[in-house]
Amino acid sequence: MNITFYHNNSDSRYSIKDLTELESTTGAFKQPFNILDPVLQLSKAIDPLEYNYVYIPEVTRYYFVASRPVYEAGYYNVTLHSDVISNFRSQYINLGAIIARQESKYNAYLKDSKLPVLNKQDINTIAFPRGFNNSDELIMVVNGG
Amino acid sequence: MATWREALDNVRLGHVALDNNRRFTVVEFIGAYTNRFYNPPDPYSTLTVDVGTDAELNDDFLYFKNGNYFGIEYLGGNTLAMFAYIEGAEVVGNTQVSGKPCTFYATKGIRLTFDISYTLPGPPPSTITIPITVTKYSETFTYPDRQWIDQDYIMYTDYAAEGYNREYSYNYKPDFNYSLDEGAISFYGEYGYPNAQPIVDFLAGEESAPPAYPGDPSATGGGSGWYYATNDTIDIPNFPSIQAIDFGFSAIYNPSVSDMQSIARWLWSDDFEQNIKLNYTDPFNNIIVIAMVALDITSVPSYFRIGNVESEIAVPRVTRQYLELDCGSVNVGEYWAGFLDYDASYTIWLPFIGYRSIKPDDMVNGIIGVVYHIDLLTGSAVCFIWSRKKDGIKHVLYTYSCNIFYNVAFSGANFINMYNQQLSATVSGISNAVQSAGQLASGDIIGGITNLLTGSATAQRQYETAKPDYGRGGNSGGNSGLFSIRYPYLIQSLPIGQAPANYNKLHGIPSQIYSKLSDLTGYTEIDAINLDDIEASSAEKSELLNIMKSGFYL
Repeated sequence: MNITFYHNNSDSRYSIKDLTELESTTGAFKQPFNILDPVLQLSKAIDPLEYNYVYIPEVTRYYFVASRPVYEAGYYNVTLHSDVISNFRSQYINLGAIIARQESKYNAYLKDSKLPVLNKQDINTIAFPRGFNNSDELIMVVNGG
Repeated sequence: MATWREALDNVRLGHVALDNNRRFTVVEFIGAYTNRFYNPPDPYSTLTVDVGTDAELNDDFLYFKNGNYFGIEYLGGNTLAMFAYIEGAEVVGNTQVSGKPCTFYATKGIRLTFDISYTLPGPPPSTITIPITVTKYSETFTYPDRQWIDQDYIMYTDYAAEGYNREYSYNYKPDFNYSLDEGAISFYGEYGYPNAQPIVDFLAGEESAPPAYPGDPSATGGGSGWYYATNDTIDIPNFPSIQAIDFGFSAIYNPSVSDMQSIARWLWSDDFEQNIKLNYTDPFNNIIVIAMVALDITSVPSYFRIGNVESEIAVPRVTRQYLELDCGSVNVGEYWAGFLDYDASYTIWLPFIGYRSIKPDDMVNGIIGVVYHIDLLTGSAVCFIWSRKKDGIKHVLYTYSCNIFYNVAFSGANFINMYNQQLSATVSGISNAVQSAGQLASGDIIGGITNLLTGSATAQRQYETAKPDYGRGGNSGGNSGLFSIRYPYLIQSLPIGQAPANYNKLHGIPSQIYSKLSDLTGYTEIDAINLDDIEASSAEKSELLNIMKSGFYL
């Protein structure tokens, strides 16, 4: 089984990763195999401290290195975790969804409970252009007249 | 299959009794048949219904504790109506041999309505009853009242038979539901009458969901609104069509200070006493009110006249009793163009009225205007606050009454009355000092402080809105109004949002739109998406959905 090792320079949540390819080798999955969290058996010639990301063409999946290597005689085991957000991007990218929050396409009139609001308010006064007179008139209401 | 006539062999008329253990066989069940006009089809399927012991008899209706009922009603003449109600029944096998039960299996509320018509030759019996035996029910349900709807009365008269035959068909669909677990429901009753040939139709109703307890079952609804809201102009009203000063019983003058001095001298002159004292012991009884107003008064030249005595004092006379004071309008824009604009609070100062709260939705992103309509005879005034938004429609949204006179006391009694009225107005104004807007419920501060400890933005906003609102003043009518600010003004209290840098890139901003993900870039949180067609393991799909909902970058 071919394995390509990378250094992932991106946040794990990015669907498109910024990868630096390191090397390729062969290896085997430790059985029983779990496609979400497989365990690789690798030769000690591959330095586990250099890579944090793996691509395995046989299962067409990218994986994060999820745990420190466990050394055994002549090889070590490393637990991987499927990078689902990258692995299936081509399948979900054309799906439609109801978007809860978005970086640029949003509705500012929706209440945002995450937005910090200062514990003080901005007080403004807006005067109407006219009102009662500053000077006064007398009124006298009488009977008859 | 037995014919409907054979099926009725064991059905006899008799008294309804729970302990009779006699059986009533309903001879026809026709699935979803809903035709209420019964014409005897052939063949019929036979249905025998057992009525269990969990029932009680009331006014010839047998009510089951779970809401089913089987009833018999003697309608007089040759008329007997029998009916049963089992909502949502699904008949398993609708061809039954006479006398054997037909089982209903209801996975949820069932409904079955049937009516019974029969033909009786000869004169009617004095009493007709049907015995019923209840056999099985799995639920207990209590209805406070029974209701009958959709009652049809159809009568056929067939005089061809010996004697006279009448058919009466009644279809009752009571207005209640009940829930019944899977099981058997059957009615048994005995019906018998010499030469009686009852004909029964079952009208199967629709399945319905089990009722919620208590009350009616929930149901879908809504979503089919007009999507159109009527929005009419509500404008400032016109003045009254009649002026009291036109009656001749009273007049309004607009004297200057020197005019007042002349009037005062004239009132106590010999000429006045000679002409008026026969009618009044106090000439000042002819003066209704002297007041100061902060208005431009429209008047015409005239001589001061009181009662039927005209003086030689030139004093302008007011001919227009009603005045409009248009204070103009102000534009209230959106500061944030977002939800914070509508979390702001607005207070308006209205001369001769005081501070009043205004709802932001009524005017933000529009204009707001103030108009007074004033009656110079009494000083009474009404203040209208109107708004107009982008749709161009003007609405009067607030109306307040007040008095704009600064009353001038001109006698001892007059002063005491004026003082007492002003004092009561001030007291009521003080009690209104804390405006209704922003009143704090007792639990709000506690909850706010608790949440504040978490340091979350939500907690901070909760605490901000939990701040007590402070009254800015009491009422300001009457004499005190002239000492107050004489023009309206708005007090705008804007919340101050403070989003950190790159807030949108790290938190996103509420969206609630439907979009293809390919049309989006950057930070995204999904509310709902269907990943069924993704070729991944269920564990991967589950994790993918979790990541999408908690936030990821496209």
